[in-house]
Amino acid sequence: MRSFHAIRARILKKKWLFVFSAAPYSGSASQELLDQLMTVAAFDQPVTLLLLDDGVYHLRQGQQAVQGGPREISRLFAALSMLDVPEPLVEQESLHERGMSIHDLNQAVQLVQRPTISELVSRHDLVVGL
Amino acid sequence: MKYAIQINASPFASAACDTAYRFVEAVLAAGHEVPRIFFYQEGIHNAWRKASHPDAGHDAVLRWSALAERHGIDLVVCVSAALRRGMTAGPAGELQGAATNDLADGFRLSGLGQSVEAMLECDRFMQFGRVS
Repeated sequence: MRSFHAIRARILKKKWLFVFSAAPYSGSASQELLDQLMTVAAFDQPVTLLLLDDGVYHLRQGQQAVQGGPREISRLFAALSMLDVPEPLVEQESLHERGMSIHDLNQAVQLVQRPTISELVSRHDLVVGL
Repeated sequence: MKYAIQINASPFASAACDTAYRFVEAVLAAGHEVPRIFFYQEGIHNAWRKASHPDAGHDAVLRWSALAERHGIDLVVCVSAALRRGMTAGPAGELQGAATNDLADGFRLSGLGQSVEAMLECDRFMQFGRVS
């Protein structure tokens, strides 16, 4: 069945925007949203990833997974390039409001400004996770 | 118009499922189609076969089953989200050593590919319950 879906997905292509707006490590929500993102990307769909509000903490430098606890979520973000997912977009104002800058993040990102978010959303066919 | 629906919230912890149910009813009443509803994250709690509701006027599970039967809606529960929360059915349950069927009538377990397919093929996508 998976290959059947994959064939259909190649014919039908939409632009997907995945938005992480809540803090990580609050249950399995981040992991499950990432699972959905990775499934979409594996179907060869163009995916954009946007972090805003407390979602910017997903890429905070200095995360340390403890043994027996949840996996370090930023490692999963770092692996997304293998699925051809471009660098995450991070809302600059969200960083600033939390006393952070791009230097506090543990991977390369592209900064976007709050006034451009609505235009960003309108450029996509599907928004998941907002 | 075809609508793909995703529900991420538990009916026992959020009003989002109630909103979703009423939205689906309204969409169908307006002559649109809802081929599939995908239950993800805490949304899997909409599918418990043995959920018991003392309040007869608000059966959060049975009403999905009834709606699906009336309108031929495919109720898909994400298998990994379900297994993570101890919900099993059919072959997925047998693999876990549990030959039980936790799913109410009309629900089935399947993978995230089902949600991708529905979202690709439908004209509109609506999700209920905050994801992340």
